[in-house]
Amino acid sequence: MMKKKYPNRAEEYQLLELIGDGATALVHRALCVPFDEIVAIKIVDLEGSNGDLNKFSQEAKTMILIDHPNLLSSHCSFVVGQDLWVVMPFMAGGSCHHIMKSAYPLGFTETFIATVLRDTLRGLDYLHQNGHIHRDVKAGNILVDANLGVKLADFGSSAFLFDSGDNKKTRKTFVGTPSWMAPEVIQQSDYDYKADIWSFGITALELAYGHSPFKSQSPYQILIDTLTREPPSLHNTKEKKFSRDFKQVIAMCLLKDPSERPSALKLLKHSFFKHAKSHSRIIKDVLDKLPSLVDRFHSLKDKGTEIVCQMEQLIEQEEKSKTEYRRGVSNWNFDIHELKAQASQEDNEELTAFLRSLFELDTVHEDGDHTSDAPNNILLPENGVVLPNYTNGSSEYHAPVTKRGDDLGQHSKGVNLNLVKADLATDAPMDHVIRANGVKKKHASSEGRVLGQKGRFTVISDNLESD
Amino acid sequence: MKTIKDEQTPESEELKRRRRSGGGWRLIKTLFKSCSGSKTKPLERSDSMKGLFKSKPRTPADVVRQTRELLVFIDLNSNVSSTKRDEKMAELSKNIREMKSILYGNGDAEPVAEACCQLTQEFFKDKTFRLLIVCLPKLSLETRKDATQVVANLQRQQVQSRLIASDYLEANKDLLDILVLGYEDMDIALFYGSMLRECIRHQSIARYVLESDHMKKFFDYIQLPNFDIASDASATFKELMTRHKATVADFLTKNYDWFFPEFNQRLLSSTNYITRRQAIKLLGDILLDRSNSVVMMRYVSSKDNLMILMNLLRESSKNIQMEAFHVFKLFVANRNKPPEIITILVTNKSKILRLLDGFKLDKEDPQFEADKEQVITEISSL
Repeated sequence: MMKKKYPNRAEEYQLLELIGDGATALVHRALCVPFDEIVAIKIVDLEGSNGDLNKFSQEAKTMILIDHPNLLSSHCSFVVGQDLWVVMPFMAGGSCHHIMKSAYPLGFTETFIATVLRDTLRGLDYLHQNGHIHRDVKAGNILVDANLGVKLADFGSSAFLFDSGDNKKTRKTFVGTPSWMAPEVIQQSDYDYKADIWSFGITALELAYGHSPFKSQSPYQILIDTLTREPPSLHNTKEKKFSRDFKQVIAMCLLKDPSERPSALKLLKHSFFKHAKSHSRIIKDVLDKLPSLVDRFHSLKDKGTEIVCQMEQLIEQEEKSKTEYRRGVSNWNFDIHELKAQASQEDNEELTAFLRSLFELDTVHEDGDHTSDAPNNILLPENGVVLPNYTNGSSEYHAPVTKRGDDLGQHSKGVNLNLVKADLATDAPMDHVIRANGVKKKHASSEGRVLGQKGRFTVISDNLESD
Repeated sequence: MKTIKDEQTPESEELKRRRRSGGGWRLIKTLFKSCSGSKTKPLERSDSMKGLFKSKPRTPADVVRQTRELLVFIDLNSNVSSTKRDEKMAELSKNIREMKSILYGNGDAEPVAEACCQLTQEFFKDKTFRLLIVCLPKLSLETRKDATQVVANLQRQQVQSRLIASDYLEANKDLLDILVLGYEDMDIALFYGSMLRECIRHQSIARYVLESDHMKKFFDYIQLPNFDIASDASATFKELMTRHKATVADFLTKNYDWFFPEFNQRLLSSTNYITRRQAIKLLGDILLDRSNSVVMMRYVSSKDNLMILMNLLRESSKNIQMEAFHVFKLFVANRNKPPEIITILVTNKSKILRLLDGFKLDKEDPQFEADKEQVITEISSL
């Protein structure tokens, strides 16, 4: 009754073309020789991952225990030298985000969207029933394949609520990608699986328009808008008209009060999803019009090289600001409520600049890595790899923001984003972080370690569990 | 197939809830409709009618009792494949999921302390725990996950401010043998592994595992080819070696003679990158813990240990180098360095100094710089 056992030795696989590359991982199409079967292999450089192997261990366990047609599980994972290989089903269509960038800049038809979203919801429902929160639902993480259908991927940010037997059903960790983050996640109040429903609503808009509703804004502006403005909603455009059902589904997901949002299961019953078709035909229709994933990957890479030169200058500037930022880091302390007020008044330039530098730093740094690591710096949104949208000159921010530390803390009124640390490259133990109140907090357990991740951003909260 | 099942469960749950709470005509109509619509046996129909009029909900203890009965059946009829067995299996899955909902809450409903307490009491009264562990390989993937979560949670449930799970395990220590050996079967390794990690939260249980012969097996488990299982074993090993300070110190003192040579040879000198990386990190955690200071003194007085550490310092991996430095500095900081340690350090003085000089972190770390400065000063003065 158990899964087919894929070989756990590199020699049994033949790596074929590269279909995605990112800050910490490469994705190859590959042949599993003994089964004569095409698979995808994600290769993670563990040495580059800086410090925390725990994340990969959690992700590997989640991926192998998942068993649902709409979730990307892994066949097996093993270590080759300093690399971790994760063997997964090959999804020939790539991600929805990727497909839009290549051929559907104005988004998909409603039937296709309904199909993709219905299947995504089924996957989400399974995750939620199992106590997981995905925390990074977006078109870039929805993969399609004419035979395998629709699968939600990338559990690198997902939280396993039931882990270690505690009863907590909520989280506080600031994690995700800005455009898709729910207000309660940004505010770091307790949040639960309903945060995924918000991200799902943003994803629906993304599929409808061809881009997220926060296009061409800086991440910090997106976070502030998510908190202060009316939730985005679906409107007819010059090119497209949308059904009432579709608009309603999005409106239901994008309610600021998480308790008013429907669960995945409830949402599935909405009449909008009656438009969904069996996926094989509808996906084939879309994919038939596209070049192969490999070709698309290369063409996007070519477009990317033009931008590299421009980026180099920017990176230099950022290096400078990074040093300055680090120097001043121990003094910072910010409060989201205060921030909201200030953002509207624009009277505290220092704070706003700080926040801005925070996110720009992150994004640019990620690009910087690519300039140095690889000649071309376009990342494919395959299996958790991120694709910055350079093609139209604007920058849509897809760089995930990770906040680690401990999310099991006690409730504290107000905001506890006490210290943000651009810890881009190291395995910094918790007590290296100088608290806003100047007191160093000792925390010996491994949970207290900062997940230093290349090109990502690490934020630490001080609400630690006193175990 | 599983999807369909999953989608139906909440509906039938809903029905069950409505049935329990009595209900009006509409409900009765639904009941009849569902009865006449399917080929339900008359007995079951009268069951639901009884339920309707008496509306007596199953208590958490009932759920446990029923689970136990079903497990007994599955255990005894393991090799028979029959429709009856399939039915029992489905019912068992439902019961285990219900236990999970009671313990963790369901949807928006928080768990009720009284219900958890009842469930825990009934669970440990009889051999339910044993049966569940023994039968786990026979359950479906989803039910295994539920069962694992149930067992994990039960380790933390208190009844009259006692962790009765601990008492139970102390009386049934052979269950821990089963759990540890689970790492050898990749189909159940992750489930038994999670359960085991929860069980060793109890100090007496951790002591039992530490003192058993199983400890030696972990050196193999950590290096299993499947990353998910190997890293799970590694997490359990780390938990055993760090969680209960006094117990660990006691274990290390008594078992020093085999443990550290094994640790050096099998883990620190492993050809497997990830094994070396995790091992050197763990060694640092162990030796730098105040409660292990006696063991630490002994470790840093051995030239064999020093040689292994010095080799790790030369690794190309920054992460390994860094962790190795944290242990290496202890050898240098030792005020009573044995002559052979001094000899090695003096012989390699210039090389060590050169290596340390070029040893930079990607990120500024004043603590590290200070440590490095001290090590350099100390070695220079030798």
